[in-house]
Amino acid sequence: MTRWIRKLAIFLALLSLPAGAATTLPRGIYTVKIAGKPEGSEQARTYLGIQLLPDTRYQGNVGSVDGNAFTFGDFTTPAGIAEPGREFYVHVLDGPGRGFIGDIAEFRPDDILCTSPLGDWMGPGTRILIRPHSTLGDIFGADNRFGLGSGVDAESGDNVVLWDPVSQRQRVYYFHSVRARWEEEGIEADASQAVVRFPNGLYIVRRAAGNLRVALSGEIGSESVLLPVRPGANVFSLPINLSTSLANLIRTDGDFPVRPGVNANRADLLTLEEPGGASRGPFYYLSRQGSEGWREVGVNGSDQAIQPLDYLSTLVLRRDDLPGHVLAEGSLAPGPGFELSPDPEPGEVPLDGELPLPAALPPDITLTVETSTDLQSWSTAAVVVPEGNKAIFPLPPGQTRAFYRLNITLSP
Amino acid sequence: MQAFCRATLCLLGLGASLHGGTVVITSLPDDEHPAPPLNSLAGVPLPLGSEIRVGAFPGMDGDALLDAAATGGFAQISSAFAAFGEAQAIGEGADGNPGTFEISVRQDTPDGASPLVGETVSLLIKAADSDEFLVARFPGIVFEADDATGLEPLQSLHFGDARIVIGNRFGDTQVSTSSAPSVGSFATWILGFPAITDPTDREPGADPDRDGRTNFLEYATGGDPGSGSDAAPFLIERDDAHLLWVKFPREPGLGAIRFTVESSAALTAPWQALGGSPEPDPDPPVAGSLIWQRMPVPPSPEPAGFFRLSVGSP
Repeated sequence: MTRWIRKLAIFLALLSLPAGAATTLPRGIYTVKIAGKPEGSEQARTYLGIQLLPDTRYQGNVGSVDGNAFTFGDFTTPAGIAEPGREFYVHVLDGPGRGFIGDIAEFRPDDILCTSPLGDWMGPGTRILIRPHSTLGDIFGADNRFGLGSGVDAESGDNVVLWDPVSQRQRVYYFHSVRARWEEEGIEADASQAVVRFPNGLYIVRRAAGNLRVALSGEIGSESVLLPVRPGANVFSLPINLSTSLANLIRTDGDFPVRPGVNANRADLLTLEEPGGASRGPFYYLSRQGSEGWREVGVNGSDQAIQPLDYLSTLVLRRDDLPGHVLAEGSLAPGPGFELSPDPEPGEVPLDGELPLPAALPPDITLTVETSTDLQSWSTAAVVVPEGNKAIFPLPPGQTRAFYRLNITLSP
Repeated sequence: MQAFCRATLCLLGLGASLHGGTVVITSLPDDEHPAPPLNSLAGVPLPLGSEIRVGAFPGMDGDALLDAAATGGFAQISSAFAAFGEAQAIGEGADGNPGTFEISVRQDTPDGASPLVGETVSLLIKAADSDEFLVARFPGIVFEADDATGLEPLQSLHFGDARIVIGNRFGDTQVSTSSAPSVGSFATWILGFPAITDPTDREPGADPDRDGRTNFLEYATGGDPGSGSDAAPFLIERDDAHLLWVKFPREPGLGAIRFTVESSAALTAPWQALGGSPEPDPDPPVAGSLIWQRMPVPPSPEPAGFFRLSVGSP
């Protein structure tokens, strides 16, 4: 066996294994239109959920929990996960704390220290994963790869806005046109490593005319999430749910339900913001005996709560009283999906997608990019040749919410 | 995440999300807001189709609104109103039940371009089947200017927290629409009695005609502050079924004024508010523009009972 064949054999062993062929785990790549400001208006706003996530750095079981710290149940060295300048989180995948997101303060030699107590959320044997939080540079490129409008200050450029639910204030970022880097409003420093703290969402305020198209990519974040709700307004990314509707996404029962009420003034108020500009709601969960259920404020008999949504919708949840958690359910089970019109535009410049190659490959293989919108039926998108450690291929025109994988076959 | 090599500029057609604000108002009851249905003066829930507008009366306080309504009725009030969002209707969001609503309205409020910014959130409700209307305001709740980068403001309000400016209150919770008030604010009303020249005699608590009724009580019950011989503003009458009722008149439309009937067994403290809400009197003792309301005299083991009317505004 040659060196190439041995590498390929190792690679294939990591993947699904039909004889002589293999496919990689699917990844999501969404192309999203960012609205330009309409005529006569100062700006346009586009909400972006972050549900395509940085690569998982650890997945396994908890060994022990002590206060804010936990250990792995295997022999993985915690300190080996750390990366200078990056912030990480632990995501609980099962047990009573399923969905909990805990920020990691430090990878220590023998354990991982989080920023808050963990005892209510995990215990020995709990399944977890660890990912880095996305950064501004991850999503939009340290070089502003999608061409958002730049300026010499926040008010002259397009803005990426992160909502801070603790202070109930926004943090505003823009691409400085002279210093050619992301900066936070009023702070002269490189902000490309500004953290988009999962599961928070973000929105883009575009002051220039003309729509932009951006591509979001990453691991498919379908794990259920306990949304940490603060009093006031909260902007949340939602997990991927292929049957996305408000009723399918947000739990109204169990230990972490949305806060119900006998009227809209007494309940959590939820608004769903789709990247395409549609805003649905506000909704609340009516708890009046005999007529429990989701209500759209002001609309008798509305069925909007069960209508399919753009996967990438952002949830704006407003609560008047105490903080808590609300469970948002992810799911890759097929369902009545949201039908997004690609709506390509004249003169649209193509975007490329990239898929990583987990190992160097021999030259005598066929590398096919397959695509799916439901993770069930796959079709060929392109036949590609490796470029370094990745496969690059053209993305379809317009806007898409699609999943991609590589099919690798040994040439006869 | 991976790099994407080529950025692109698209030039046409995406439904842009404009920045805006939302106001949610409900009248559905909860533990802090018993909130019976909003009634018409006839005492029945306001019919479906009655229009609800959210907005503000720029530059006008409650007195100015009363004066405008007394002068020009609904037309003048309506012209002074700056609407926020689309008109809604009674029954919307409330399963089509008369007298109730739960609405959500949305509109952009650009700073410097909207007359609403900084103004008190108000409601203007117009009955579908009559000239009656209601004006209510939410004290301390104002329209905010759009913040270019801030989250869209959303105000969630309960009708029970609103201050009724034009309309009628029946007890603590029952509210009705009203015809246009025949008198304006107290300050304007007292100036309509030029014979009262001493400024101290024009105070709400003064009693220049020495009939035992303060100016404010005269104002609220349709009296004459310069005459000690006008009709009594508080009566006890027996109806055809021999039931005893306490009755009192009120000027229509003075929505901020609360009328409370109190009772005592011995004309001494403690005076206690009579339970329940007043209702329209189907057999008013005096015909005219005043609204007569009544409350039943409750059965009592005491050999005697005494009643008085307390009138005030918050």
